[in-house]
Amino acid sequence: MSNPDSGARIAARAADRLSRLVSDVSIAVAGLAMLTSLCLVVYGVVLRYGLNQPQTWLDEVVGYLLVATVMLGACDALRKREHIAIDLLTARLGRRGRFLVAALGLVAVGLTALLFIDEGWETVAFSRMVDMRSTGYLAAPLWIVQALIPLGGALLLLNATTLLARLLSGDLAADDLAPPAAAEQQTPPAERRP
Amino acid sequence: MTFAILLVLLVCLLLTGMPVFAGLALFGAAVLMIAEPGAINLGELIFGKLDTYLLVAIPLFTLMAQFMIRGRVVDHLFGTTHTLTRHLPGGLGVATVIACTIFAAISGSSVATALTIGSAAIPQMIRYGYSPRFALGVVGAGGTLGILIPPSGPMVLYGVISDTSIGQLFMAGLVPGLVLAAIFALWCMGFAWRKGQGRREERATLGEIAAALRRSVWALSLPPLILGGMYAGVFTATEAAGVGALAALLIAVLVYRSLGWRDIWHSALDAARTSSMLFLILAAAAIFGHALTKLRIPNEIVELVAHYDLSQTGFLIAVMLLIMLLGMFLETISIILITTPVILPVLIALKIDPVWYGILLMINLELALITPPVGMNLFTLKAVSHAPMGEIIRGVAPYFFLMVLGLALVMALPQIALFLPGTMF
Repeated sequence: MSNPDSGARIAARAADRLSRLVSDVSIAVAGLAMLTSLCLVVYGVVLRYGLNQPQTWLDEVVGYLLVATVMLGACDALRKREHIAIDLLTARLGRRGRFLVAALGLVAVGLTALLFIDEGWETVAFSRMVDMRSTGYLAAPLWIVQALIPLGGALLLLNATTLLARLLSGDLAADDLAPPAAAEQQTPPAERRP
Repeated sequence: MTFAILLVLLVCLLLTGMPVFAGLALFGAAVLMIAEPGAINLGELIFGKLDTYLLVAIPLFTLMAQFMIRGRVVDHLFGTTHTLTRHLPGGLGVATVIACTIFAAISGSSVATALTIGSAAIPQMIRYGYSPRFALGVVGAGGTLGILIPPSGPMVLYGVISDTSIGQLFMAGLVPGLVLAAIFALWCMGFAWRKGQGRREERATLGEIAAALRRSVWALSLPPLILGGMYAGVFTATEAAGVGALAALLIAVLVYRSLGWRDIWHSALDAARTSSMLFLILAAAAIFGHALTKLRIPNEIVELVAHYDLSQTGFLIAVMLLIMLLGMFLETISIILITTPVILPVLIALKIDPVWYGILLMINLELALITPPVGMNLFTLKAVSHAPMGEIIRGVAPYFFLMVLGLALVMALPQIALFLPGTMF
């Protein structure tokens, strides 16, 4: 499409570098949430069966950590092409067709992210207004954990937008955004592009 | 009729290649906007679906599998099963089936099972004189056991959606899983014997068997720890997953010394990504399910079943055929999430045990993994072996019929699945 050093490409690449950084931080927090869940569940087992001191707050916190893992890991899963898609028909398309499919996929992700932001924000605002609290032992203000939904949506939107910008400016090929084969999804994705 | 139209539209949308979670969420939201304009309120619905303690079992089982895969535990497992079965006709095929069965009880994932065992078993089988088609078929079919033999991620998902005891589902999957594994192993032996495939070796000596078992005893101890704890009512599914993940970590770090800090961190990141992918589909399916409820689709189906006076068996056969058809186009998670909320009211109306149905569903989903054009295990085999897709499909074809036989068996004799959970707690 455009030449490698065109302004559009450079701007798209710079924006994407920033969103990649945000995504790296986000997945690191999701990974920490994952390991913390493991520690808390095991701690709960030890307390319950070892010391006969069941702690009900643990279940509540572990549930919140799952929300954090899912919402904060979503943007990195997009970058590592881990979101499942059915490529039965699209795999047979030509270059232009694959480009359209990749763009459509990112637009769909962006719209879904907007849905998460809009609906999530409404829920957060309502919970804050009525000071809604969890029904468990902690009685935590729910809006704090509910805010993970619009936050995850915003991170997803940011990454989908910058990837779309790179795709449209010609800095990224459609194949770089195609979902990987099932086997590839199970391999360490450290070096997977984009 | 409305459900059929929506299903066709959804499948068409997903065939455009957009991520499944986005397709489901947008389609569900659009249907909701038409069904009930101006009153969506999905934030609470999504949060409620994700904030579920029981679901934490899935990422923890994923983490456990990651520790085992990165810790190269599978090499020890496969070596042991080969030592035990090498004197049998089709011995390496039998070893592969047994290794798949054990790894299924560690990983809870069919794709991970086919991938991990396939990488080790396919080249070795070909080296030992088995045809590539035979090798591909064994791994493709053996890998599917991952979702039937507990622990199983899809079973946890079904249990949470249908409000069925996950412990009972796990126990119910064990015997049908072992029966299917036995059918696969017998087929391997019969096929290899009839076609003269593979090199038979001398029976292993007691010393060799003891040495092989010593190498893999720690990995072999994981399934009894998880299942035994749940069977005895000591652990919930989430606790069993946590204890299993910790045990896998300790085994890989302290016993096999094959896992470093970096591996642990990357395992956590991979598990977080996989969980995110999975649970976004769950959240999106919740939106779609909410739309179906607003349209009264589950009630309509119950009324339809009552109208045609369908028996338990008639209904189950119809549903199994529908799921088999869906399995050709969708992957397992989407099928569970789309069909379960619609079918559940009918199960209740017809007094069908949801545990039994769950096992029938899992066997049917195993079929979905090897039925073209969209079969995750077929893609896995392609990636592992680089064999032509036609060869892979021909390789797994006999196992399709063996699985249908297994499905028919569990449908005709529910006690195969229900006996063990009946003795629990």
